[in-house]
Formats: sequence, C-alpha cells, structure tokens
Amino acid sequence: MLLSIQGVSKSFSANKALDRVSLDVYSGEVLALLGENGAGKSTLMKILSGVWPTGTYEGEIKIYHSETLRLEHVTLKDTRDAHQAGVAMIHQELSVFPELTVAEHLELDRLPSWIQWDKLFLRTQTFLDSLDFGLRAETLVKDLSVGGKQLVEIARALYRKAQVLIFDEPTSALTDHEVNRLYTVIARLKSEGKGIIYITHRLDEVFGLADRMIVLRDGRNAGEANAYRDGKKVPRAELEPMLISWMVGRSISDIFPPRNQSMGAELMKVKNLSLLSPKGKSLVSDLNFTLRRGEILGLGGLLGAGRSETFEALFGVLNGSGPRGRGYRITGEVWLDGQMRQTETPIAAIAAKMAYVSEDRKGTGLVVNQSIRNNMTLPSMASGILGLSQGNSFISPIRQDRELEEVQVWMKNLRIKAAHVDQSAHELSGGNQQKVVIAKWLMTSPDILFLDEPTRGIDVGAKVEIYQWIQRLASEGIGIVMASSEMPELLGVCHRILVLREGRFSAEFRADQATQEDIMRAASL
Amino acid sequence: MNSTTTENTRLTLAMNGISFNWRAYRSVFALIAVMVVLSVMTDGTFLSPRNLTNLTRQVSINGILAIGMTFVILIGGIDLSVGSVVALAGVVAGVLQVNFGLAQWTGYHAWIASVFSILAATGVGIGCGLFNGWLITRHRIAPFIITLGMMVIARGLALIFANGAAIAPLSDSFNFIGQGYLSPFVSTVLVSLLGSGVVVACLLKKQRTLTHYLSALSALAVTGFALWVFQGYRGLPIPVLVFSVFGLLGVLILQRTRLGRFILAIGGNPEAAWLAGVPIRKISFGIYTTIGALAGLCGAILSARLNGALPTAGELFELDAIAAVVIGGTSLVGGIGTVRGSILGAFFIGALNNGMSLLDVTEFYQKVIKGLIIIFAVWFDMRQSSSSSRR
Repeated sequence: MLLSIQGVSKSFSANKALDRVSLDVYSGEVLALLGENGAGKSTLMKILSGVWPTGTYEGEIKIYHSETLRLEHVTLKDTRDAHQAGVAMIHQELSVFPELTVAEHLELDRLPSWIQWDKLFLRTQTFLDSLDFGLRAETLVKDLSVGGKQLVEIARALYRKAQVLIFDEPTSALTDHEVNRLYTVIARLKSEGKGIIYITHRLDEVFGLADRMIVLRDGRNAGEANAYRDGKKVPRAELEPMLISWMVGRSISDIFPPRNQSMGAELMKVKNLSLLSPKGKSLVSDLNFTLRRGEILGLGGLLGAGRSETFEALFGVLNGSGPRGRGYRITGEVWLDGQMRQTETPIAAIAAKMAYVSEDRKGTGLVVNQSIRNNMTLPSMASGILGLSQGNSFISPIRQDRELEEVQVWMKNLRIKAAHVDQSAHELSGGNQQKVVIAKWLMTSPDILFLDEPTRGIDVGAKVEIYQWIQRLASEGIGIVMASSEMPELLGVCHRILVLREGRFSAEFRADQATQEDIMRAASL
Repeated sequence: MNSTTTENTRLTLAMNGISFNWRAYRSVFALIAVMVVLSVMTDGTFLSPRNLTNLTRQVSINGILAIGMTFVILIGGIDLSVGSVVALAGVVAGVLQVNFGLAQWTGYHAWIASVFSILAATGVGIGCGLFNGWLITRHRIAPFIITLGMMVIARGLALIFANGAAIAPLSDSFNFIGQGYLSPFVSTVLVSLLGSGVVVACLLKKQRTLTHYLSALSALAVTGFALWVFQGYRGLPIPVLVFSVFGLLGVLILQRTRLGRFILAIGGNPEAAWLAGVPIRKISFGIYTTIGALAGLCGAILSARLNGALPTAGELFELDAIAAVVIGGTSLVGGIGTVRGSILGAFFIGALNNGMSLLDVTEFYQKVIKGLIIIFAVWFDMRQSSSSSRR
C-alpha cells in the first residue's frame, strides 16, 4: 500500500465538505475517484497535495516511506511537503509557466541561483530520454500542445520521485491522439509500481483504465467497486448502474428525459449569417436556419468549427463597444416572430428576448468574486425586465426585498446548493455555478435560449436536472439552440441537429434518425 | 419545513452580516485607535474642536478625490492625473479671477463671478476626464498610460497658463468655498437632520439584523461627535459640506443603485458584465469624466483655501487618493470595495498628517512614516481577508 487516508473530515463554516472519508491506494493500480461536483473530490485532493495543511482537517494520512519501508503518518504543511512525501498532482488546468523551458519546469523548486544551462539541459534531457515522452529539455513550454504540457507536469512529478500521482480530469482538453498517448503513459506508470488516483466524470474512461473505483457523495464514501473479479473484468453493464446510483444517490433509469412533443410557430429565422475575424478570417459563413417555439436545435461540430462564434454573432457579443470585439464583421439577418431585429449588442439581444448561457462559465458566465445574488440578477437588472429597481435609470434604487425574493425562488427552482444568497460564486461547485448562470438567464424570461456546452464539466446528477429543465422550457414554448461536443447529448436532447464544419453547415439530421457516426462524419469529413 | 429553511437562511445571513461588518468596523477601530493615541500624545490638543475642524477641512479634498478614485478602481482602472487636474483647474479659476478681473466684481455680481469660476474649474476637470475616458474606452489604451500622459499634460498646461507663478489674490466670495463656514446654528440643524435621517433609515428595514442596529448606533455616535466638533469651533467648513454630499452620494450609488451593481460587475468580470447587457463603455466613460469633474472642483476648493492658484499645487494628490482607497479595503484588481472604506481611509491618512504636524515631526519623517503605515495597513488587511476567505 502506498497511501492510506483514514477518516478525514473537513468543514467550511457550516458546510461539511468531507465526512470521515477513507481511501487506500496500492502500488501498481489505477484508482478511479468518482463523484458529482461538490461531492468532496477536490477538497480531498487538496488535502492530499498539501493545499489544506494538516490541522485544518481531522483524520489521518499515511504515506509509504521509502526508507522505513512502511506507511508513516505524515504532516503536510504545504504543497512542498506533499511533493517530498511523494504525492504529485497533475492539474486539470495546467500550472505551467509558458516562457520557461521544459528543463526549468523539472527543476523549478530547486533551480540553482546561477544556472549553468548546458548542464541543466544535459541532466534533464537524460531523464526525459528515460521517460521516452518525446520531450526536449530546451523547448519552451508555450510551444507545446495541451497534451505536451500535461506530459511536462507528469515528467515533473516523476522527476521529483513521486509515488502517487493524482490526475484531475486529465483528458478534458486533449485530442484523441493525446488521450491515447496519456493512457499508454498511465499504463506504464502502473507497471512501474506507481499508485494513480484518477478523477473523472467520464464513465467511459473509468471502465477502460481503472482497477478499482471509489465513489464519493456529499463528502462521504458512497461505494467502492473492483473492476476485476476472479481475474476477469467485470462487465460494464453490471458496474455502470451501480456507480451512477452511488454518485447521484438514486438510480437513473434514463438520463435523457422524453423530448418535448408540442412545437409551435416559427420563432427565429437566421439568414446568411457570416462572421469575419478582425484579421479577415471567416469564422462563420452563410448560415441559414429556422427555430420553432418549443424546438430544441442542436449545433454539432468539432472544436473550432464555429459553434460558439455562431452564438456570439447572434447575441452581439463581438460588437465594437464590448471588451473583446473590435474589427469583427458580422453580416446577415435575424428575424424574430416575422420581424427583422437588430441584435448588434447583448443589450439589444436581451431586449429581443434572447438569452445566452456561454461556454466559459468563469470567463464570460459569472462574475466569480461576487455573490450568487449579484450574479443572478445582473441581466434582469441591466435590462430592467423584472422591476428589480424603482425605474430604469442608472441611479434607480434597487428593490432589495424583491430581488432577494426572486433569487430565492430560482435557487429553489434549480436546486442550487449554497449556504446563502450572498455566498461568493467562486465557492460553488461547477454544477451549482452552471445553475446560477442558467438561472440568471431564465430570470429574464427569454423566448430564445442559446446554450453552449451547458453540461461541460458537471456531474451526472446536475446534467440530468439540466436536461429536464431544457425539455420543460421547450414545452413552455421557448426555442432552444444547444451546442455540444458530446454527441450522445445532442442525440438525446435535441429534435434537429445541424453540423458545422469550418464555419458552414455540412449536414442536418433529425435526432431520432441519426447516429453518432453520422454526426462525426459530417463534422470531420 | 419551509419556515425552518427560511429561518436558517436568515440566521446565516445575520451571521454573515456580523462577520462582514467586523471587517468594515475594523477600519473604524483603527481610526479611533489612531485618534486616541494622538490625543494622548498631544495632551488633548488633537481632540480639540478647533483642531478637528481643521482636520476635516484638510481631509476634504483628498476625501472627494478618493470617492471618485474608488469608482475608477472598482471598474479595474486607475487615474493618475487627478493631482495635475486639480492644479490646472485651480489655475484656470485663478486666471479668470485675476487676469480676467472677475475678482473685482462687487455685490451680488461677485457671487456670480465666483460661481462662474468654480464652474469653469469643474468644466476644465470634466474636459480632462472626457479626454481620458474617450481614449480609454474608445481606443482601449491602458488607463495607466493615458492618465499618466494626462498627468504630465495638465501639469504643463497649468504652468503655461499661470506663467509658472502663483496667481493671487482671489475674491472673498470665491474663497468662501475653501475657507468659509456654515454658521454653528445651521451646521447643527443640518448635521442633526442628516444624522437622524441615517439612523431612521437603518431602523426602517423590514428585516432588521444586528448589523442595522450597529449601523444606527454608529451613525448616532458620529452625529454626536460631529455636533460637538462643529459646535465647539466655528461651524461646518464648506469643503467638509461638499465632501459629505459627495460621500453620501457615493455610498448610496454603490450600495443601492443599479449603477453600483453594474460597476461591481464590470470590475469583477467585464466580459460577463457585457454579456449580461451592462453598457460597460458608457459607464467607464462616465466614471472617468466624473473623477475629472471632482478633481476640477477640488482645484477650485484648493485655490480658494490658499487664496491663490499655484501651478505646482496638488502634487501626489493622486497617490494620496489611491492610498485612501486601498487602505479602505478596495481591491486594485477591481470589483471589490466600498466608498465608506475610502472615506475612512482618507480620514486615517488625514489624522496621521495632522497628528504628526502637531507633534512637530518634520515633513521628511512624516513621509517615511506615512509610507510605512500605508504598507502595513494593506498588508494587515490582506492577511485578514485571506485568512477569512480560507477560514
């Protein structure tokens, strides 16, 4: 055994984030750590990697000591202690410095004050060659792909002689090729006797990689399963329902609720929509489509095919008076309820009853350092829709009671888990943050809802809730356009799917008649 | 079931209110502590109504600038030009008064001439603010660069217009805005009305928490103290009146209005604010213009106080204003902060300046001590807030 966590509990004020969680990691195994957002995975890993120092939590952590050859109780005061004890975290968002070389990354915490470059390169290159990752010591990290940067992080961990490697959602930003390479690397680490904790949302990965699975729910051990029984793999069909029920606390017979059946009149018609970047590159060209009330239209396509750009063009995000937009050229017409409307800024788009749940929660969806309340009412406040202020001039006083009421209603509607309405958005789990973003737009009672990757990085339970909401909104007559890179999601939720390739529509499918292969072919051809 | 949940939320809200206000009141305690120490060290001279009246008047200009600067910093910007704009606006008022002969007008014409001079100074400030705002919002040049440029330009213009020398004397009616007082009687009425207004506003809330009672109590204490100070000397100085008006406006705008919400959102995440339909360019433009206007007004007040316009006036005013804002707990990253904190910060700096002068600390040492205290205050605040956010 390399690592043993025994009965660890940790609270944030009144919130119990971890409640007597135990977990063991053996040499030469991949342990998948599963759980919804907010289940306590991240907190547990922060404790293991020394971010939350010993003393801020209860319970015991023992780590295999290479000299005494047995498990020793450890005190982790900071991340450095964790490194020394042999625990390394491979972060989800790679914490690398773009302007430094690979060699400097390997020796980051022990660089001599006077660097002798040739010796540094020599010594690190020898090590890198032994890993066979294809990394060069003198490469600048910014010149590497996302997968390459991840390899640097892994190499750094191994260079520090880590025994236990923690992978936090390692494949979320990788290409298929890079994912395969990562799997190979993990298999090798395993064969060399390292212990691996693999955190993920994707069950597909779990069945391919893991030897054992531990599920956390609400800060507690919810279940544990072995991937092998009597030396043979346990069939996925047997494990999957079990894991899901542990994760969400109930069994999910069907992830996708039935599609909305009642469709109304035509709501939106987009004619010849094109978008040129400031450098004259065509991001989206000549899109034509219609959307009916109650219809859920899917936008498929590979990364960079123009899905988000379509939304940004329609919602006026790239207008010159915005923070990002300068020099974008948008042409085309948007017709709503038979009238041509200008949606050249988000202000105009919101006035036209559009709403846009953007892809990047932290970048464009939330003001993360502010409260749930401030975030949730921002669009309504800006457009003056709900009467949250006495009048709509800049200096109109806010009706605080009214506002509080609305926020509480939506927190309850969407089952947002938070201590109180004034809790800062960055303290929420990903799923709850996403719900805040959705709530802030639903508050404006839109006719048209754009959803860009609405379930990215959130857990199964929250996903299902969001799917239910999508169908419910459609049945209330809202037209929905949803972009997603998860094909099962497009097929399970939408009525129609339009596939984008290099900024143009390459195919249109009825969701009940298409397959993943159809979409893939249309997207990549 | 339901009622217990709301009860719980209210309870946590109340608890949150307390912890939040402990943070806010901490700077109040710091200010009180400094005042007590200075009173003891000066054998009570510090605490005399006369000295405190002078102190509030000295604080006013920095306070007004700090209020404007709070908004600028809240949207993630900075304005380094305020000191120079103060000088330029003062000089423009001085030139009008002296070179254009407005100071010679008599009777009620004198008052018209003075108001015109003050408006002209403010107008010059607005002009500078418009220029800053236009370049920053429309051409997206970093505010640090633009306002640094404006700082040098305005200083140069001030020197040009004033021919490098002081412009004096100004008319008495003009000087009133810097040197005048409201009579003790009027001051008493005004302060009592305002104070009781705030107290009542605190107690009129539907859901009263401990916070509201504490606010009411402190408002009462401040009112009483202000009455004692201004009664005991010559009444409320006009600059303090101006400062109070803008302070109140600033607090209300940030805490209570849509605009306040928008400003916080812009500073916290401009992209998200824009996507939510906040007219970020208009607001930023307005804020740079406003701080320009405030700087212009301060220029008039300063030259009125000195009975003369100096092209070299207002040096480092921008840094004093930024220091007050930062000591008041506003984050330089944007999106987090309060006007009340900045006002307290301005008083904190003012009390130190005043106290050290009373103690005959030479100006050279004053600077060193002030710098150290600014660093210490911010360091302490960061330590506190990081430990509270980590819990």
